Amino acid sequence: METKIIMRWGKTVLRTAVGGLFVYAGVLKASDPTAFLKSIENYQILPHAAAVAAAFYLPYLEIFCGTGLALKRLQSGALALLGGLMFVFIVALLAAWVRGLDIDCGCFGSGDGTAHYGLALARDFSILAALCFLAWRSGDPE
Amino acid sequence: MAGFPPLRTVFREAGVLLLAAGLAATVAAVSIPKDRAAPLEEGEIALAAALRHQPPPLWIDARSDADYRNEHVPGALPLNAENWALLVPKVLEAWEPDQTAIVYCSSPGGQASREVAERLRDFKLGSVFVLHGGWKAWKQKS
Repeated sequence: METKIIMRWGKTVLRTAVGGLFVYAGVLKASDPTAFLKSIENYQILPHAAAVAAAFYLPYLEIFCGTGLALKRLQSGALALLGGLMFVFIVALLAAWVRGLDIDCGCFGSGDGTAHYGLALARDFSILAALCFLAWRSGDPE
Repeated sequence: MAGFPPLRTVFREAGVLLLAAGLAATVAAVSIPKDRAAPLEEGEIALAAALRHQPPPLWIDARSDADYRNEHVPGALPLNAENWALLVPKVLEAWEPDQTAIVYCSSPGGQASREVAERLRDFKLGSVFVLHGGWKAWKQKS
């Protein structure tokens, strides 16, 4: 019984924390789309028009999905989309690392302009693992 | 009961979130001031990103000598096509290896700064950007 209560609380805390993190990241990016656009273009993956669209769209997707996750509304969709986003971010980071680009990841708006690939990847994989866990346990009663 | 939610639920909820984010992004893109809405062109940098750039960039003033004498970005060096041979040695002396240079001017469309940036890139000393919005953007910030 106690284990169940701990698990339930742990899940709620994790869900709120991960959701809040995405809302925070989204708000930072949405507040300065030009800086976020520069971060996207630094990866040298997307053409300019697609990068502009992503600079406006991704922050709001993060905000809505993060809010949905934290408030347990549209949770399944939010988990799937955030999982997809994390996968894309990880692939983009790896691609930049392999090409030796010295760029800020742009994960939380514009940073210090320096690449810390190991840390960024460790963080992204941790978030992805948390999302997978939450998706797996999403059928549990709360 | 642990387990992943049904796919139909995931798709329906994801669709709602994607649509909501699209609407919010559209509203954000339409409602920002026109001078900020103009997308960055290749080789341009937004003022916000330029101000946050680390290490500090080398500012290059591509306006006329008279305009430069009247007022300029603190620390900026003058460099224009008219007095290129006279002014460029001082710029090359101040330009640290791998330091980013940011060129601005007051001509419509940033033509003067584009020309100066193009010539500076030939030195291959570091990245060279044109300030998005030029001198006007800087003055609006002040």
